[in-house]
Amino acid sequence: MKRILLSAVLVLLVQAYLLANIFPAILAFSILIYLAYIEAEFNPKIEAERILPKKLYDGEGSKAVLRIRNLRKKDFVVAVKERLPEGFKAEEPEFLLGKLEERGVDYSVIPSRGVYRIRSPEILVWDLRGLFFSKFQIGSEQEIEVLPSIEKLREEAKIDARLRLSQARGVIGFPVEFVALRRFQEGDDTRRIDWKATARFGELIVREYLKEWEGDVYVALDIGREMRKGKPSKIDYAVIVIYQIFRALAGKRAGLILYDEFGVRNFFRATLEKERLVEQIKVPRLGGIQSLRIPRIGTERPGFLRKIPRKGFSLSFLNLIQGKSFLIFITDLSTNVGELLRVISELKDCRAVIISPNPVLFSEPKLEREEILRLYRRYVEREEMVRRLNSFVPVIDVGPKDLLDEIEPVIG
Amino acid sequence: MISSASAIVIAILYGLKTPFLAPAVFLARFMKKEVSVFLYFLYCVLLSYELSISDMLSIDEAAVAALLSAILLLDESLSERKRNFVDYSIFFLMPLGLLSPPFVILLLLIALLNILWVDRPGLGIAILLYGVIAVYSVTMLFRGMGSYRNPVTEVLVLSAICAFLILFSILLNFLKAKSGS
Repeated sequence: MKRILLSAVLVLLVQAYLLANIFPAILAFSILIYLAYIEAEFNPKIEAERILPKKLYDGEGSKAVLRIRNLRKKDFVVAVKERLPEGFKAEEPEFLLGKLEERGVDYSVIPSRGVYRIRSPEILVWDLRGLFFSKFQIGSEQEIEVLPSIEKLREEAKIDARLRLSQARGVIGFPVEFVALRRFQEGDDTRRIDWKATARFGELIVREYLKEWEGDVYVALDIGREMRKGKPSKIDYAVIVIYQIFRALAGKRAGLILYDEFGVRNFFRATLEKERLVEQIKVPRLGGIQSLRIPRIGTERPGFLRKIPRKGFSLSFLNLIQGKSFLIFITDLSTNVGELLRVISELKDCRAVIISPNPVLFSEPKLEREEILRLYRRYVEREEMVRRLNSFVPVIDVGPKDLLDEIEPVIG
Repeated sequence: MISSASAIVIAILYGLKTPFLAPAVFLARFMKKEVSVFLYFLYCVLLSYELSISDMLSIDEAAVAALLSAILLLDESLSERKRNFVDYSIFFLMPLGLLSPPFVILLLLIALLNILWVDRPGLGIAILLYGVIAVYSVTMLFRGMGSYRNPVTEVLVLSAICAFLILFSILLNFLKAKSGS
């Protein structure tokens, strides 16, 4: 607005000169005096503090409070500009602050999961005419923790029509005792077909087993950089799946293992309060493009390297898991596949399955021929890797829309 | 509000057309202030085409009234200030200006003084005084020049004062920034 007025001053002076008319010159001079008057009078001074709860929940609106005090005997218009990390949303309140007034302003902040150091907001103080402003930065950085929201996960689980938690009951159990034969029904696992009985009766017959619970379930979640990229990120998807698995394990104990490119980060023992474990996944999403690279599989290191002890990455958590447990790895298989296979091969009484969010399905391709071809090549390479991995351990390759009902037949 | 009423009275009194646009400029602020300021820009240009003054010594009643009304229009289009009793009184008294033209100028001066009263200016008073003294000095200067004066010289002198004011404003900003840091 100030620019428009200064342009008007210039145009009026030119007009006065060209038309030899003194009125536009006086008008221009008056506008300039008016602007100078407002600028001279504008000298704001404020004190302010922004208070955010220390614990926030992912995607849930929380109340931020701004306490502000005007130290001048003039009214100002105040606008709050939050400088929050990527993925956060915040209201930007604007209000009139009277002379020497002190007030509290509430506004809502919607955070994104992770642990952050949040910068203080920028407070813009405008004069009443909206021509001049001053920026104020208040306070220092504040550390906040944004936990996964159980409520939000519950909501998402309800919304997805494909989810059938009731079917998922008893998903993870070991078929230990043969009970009976019965006719094949839609949805039955084809691996349970008894071919001899089928040949005898002339129709598809499946074996029924008694599922017996034999231990705890541990979910080992890869929280590495690649898992945190993409929109939606694979980690977001993993949190929903973990929540669903824990819900399906009503009355059973479950634990959580968080690991990344550098090794095991957290180990949470199996507990009955499984939903609380989901809150421990406090890793922020990352921007950037997924690498989509396909790692080489190999548990054995070549030549003399075999004699050198492994350093750096290690998934050495097996000694922490007791008895017969069921391990569900959730990883995009982008790094350290060899170490993962080593761990799985060392499992004795435990069973394992890998749920692998496919990075290709989680990427947002540009609709360009080269990009689509590149993605297709990656997809095929990955399919091949998953096929090879399947000979060691069941691998379920999933996309962002696959939920527990997709996974259930494989781990059931 | 006052500026729109006064502009209509001025338009009727002095047979001008552009001041009838003043209410549109004022009402545009409720849409967006930027639109209002842009319309104000056009309003000033059109008004300047309509009102012609050959030199500082021949400034008449119509020019003073139009000038005060235009400045008040700018303030009303921008300011978030709450209207007070004086504002409403002036607004309702403005039609009486149709009977006596100097009454319009008086009411406009009261309206501007009322804004200053509410603002309680400090350094701003010095700026306003500078403006008044500058215009007065230029007028006196040209009175002494006799036959040498012409509108182009007057415009150039006023432009020089404007440039000085801009430089002063930049200096003021610099000093404020320095005291702030």
